[in-house]
Amino acid sequence: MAQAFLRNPFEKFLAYLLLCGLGFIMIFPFFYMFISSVKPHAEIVQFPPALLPQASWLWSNYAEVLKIVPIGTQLLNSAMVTVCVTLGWVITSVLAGYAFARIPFPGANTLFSMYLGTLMVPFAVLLVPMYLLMSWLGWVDKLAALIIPWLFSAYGTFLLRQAFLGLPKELEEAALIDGANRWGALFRIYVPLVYPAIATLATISFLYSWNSFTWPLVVISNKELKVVTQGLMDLQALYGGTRLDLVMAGSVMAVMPTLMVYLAAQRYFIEGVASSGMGGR
Amino acid sequence: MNARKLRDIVDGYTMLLPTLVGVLAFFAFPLLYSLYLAFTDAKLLQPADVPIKFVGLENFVFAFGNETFQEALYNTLFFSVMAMFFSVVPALLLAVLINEKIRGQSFFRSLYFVPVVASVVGVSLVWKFLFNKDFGWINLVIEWLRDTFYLDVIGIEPVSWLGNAKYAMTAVIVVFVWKTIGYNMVIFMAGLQGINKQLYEAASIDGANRWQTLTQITIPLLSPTTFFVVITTLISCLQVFDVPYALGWTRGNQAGPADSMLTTVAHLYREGFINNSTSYSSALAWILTLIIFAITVIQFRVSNRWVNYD
Repeated sequence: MAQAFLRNPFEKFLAYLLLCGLGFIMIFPFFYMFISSVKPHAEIVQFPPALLPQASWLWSNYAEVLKIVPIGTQLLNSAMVTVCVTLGWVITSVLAGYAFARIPFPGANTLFSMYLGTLMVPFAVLLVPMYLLMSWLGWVDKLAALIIPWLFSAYGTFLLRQAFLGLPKELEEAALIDGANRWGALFRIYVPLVYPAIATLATISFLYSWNSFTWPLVVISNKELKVVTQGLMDLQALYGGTRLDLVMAGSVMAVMPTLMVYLAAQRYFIEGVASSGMGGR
Repeated sequence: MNARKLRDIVDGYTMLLPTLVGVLAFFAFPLLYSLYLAFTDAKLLQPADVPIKFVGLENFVFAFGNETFQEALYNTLFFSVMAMFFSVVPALLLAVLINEKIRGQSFFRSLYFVPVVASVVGVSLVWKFLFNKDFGWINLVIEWLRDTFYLDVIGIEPVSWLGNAKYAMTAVIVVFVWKTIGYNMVIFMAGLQGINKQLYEAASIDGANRWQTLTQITIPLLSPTTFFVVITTLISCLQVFDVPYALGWTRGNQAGPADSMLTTVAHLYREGFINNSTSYSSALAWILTLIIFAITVIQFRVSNRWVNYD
């Protein structure tokens, strides 16, 4: 800004105080989660609470929680679902985004606007009929139910279409004249140029699918097939009263992967949200 | 040329094929099927020898006369208004503040975004313990504030946040706002980047003070972003389910104490999957869909009047 909103050091100081205070509120629950996961239960429930573990750091809580509930398997299920869904999003969105952006074919505009319309429908309306569909297909209590219906993304198609529209047309015309076909042009010329958009899409998809909860809750009830968010709810139901340390250790394991990926690929998360405002919703 | 056009049509549809099949099978079909179910008496576990009956508007009529649904709707609207206000207005102010040339700009942005990426269930469980009436940090802070500033005279006292129907929804709002502020802030920051810097220079030359700059340049020029943030936040508020579920769902399938956290989606989840009433649940889902659709349409109309798309 040409004209500063904050004019003197005192105002800047107040602004920092506010920003740091809020930052503390944003981070404290994570800190509390981690610290509680290495405390004994008795220290979590004492009042007033202490900030750090008093006797010793109980790393064994992690081993214990992995032993008494199948949260290890559930983490793997989440990972499996997340990888498949992310690959699916990227592949189908690249293909559809390119077709919508670059290939003139009849019906393209109508299909595209209908596709965007799907974003306006709340997921809740699909819960019941999707469950019934899954039961007809025999996919209730199968990981397929968490993967196959979610391989497509209107958001991703939109994002990739925008990315492809931003590239010069001449690139492709040159390739087509040289005898390459559309597929060659797409994979050899266009895809490498939209890697940033693909990375954004992949991070958003990762987030969305790792954190998904409502649909798994409805369609998976076998505890060996549950995803980690469901596993956490079970953990809370079993040990929420007696072993908070274990519940917190489970939470750390469920939250850690997204935090790590966020730290590594922050730029893409923030760009994904800033550019479209649809990610993670 | 004609061969090329034909190839384009073939290639275009081939590339769209996976997406089209997916949208038809896992979106269009369930959507229409749900509309059909809403007008029937279908059960989740429909006995094979009992045919599904068409019942007209019965499910809808029942919903509007049903006290639980009215409560769920009221809870959802109350939640949405509060959560929307507290996750949009502070996000806007924060974005303006962080957009200043201050040290650590991207650090703060990244920091406020952390809650966005974490799993709702994971963080809700932590908040559940922070809200605990016996050992939670929130009551600890409240007690400290009370004893330091004598706030008990204005009624600030530690309470049982999640155990008392009066306060349970407040807890849901706090967690939702905490998780959404950073998200909205990032969108506002992107919007602020799009405002022409010369306008600020001109305002400064004209001797505008900062409140005039804020209210007459920043806020009006940011209005398309604000409009977008308000709509998307409202739509996600109206569908809130996982936060109240993780914070307060009980073994007896109550949403918090005395069902005080029951939102529309929680209600339709319970009707559809616990109470076996597929058709009624579908009707509820369509009522929600129509509400969301109506809000979107109204907001688009209104936006033409007050949003500045310059």
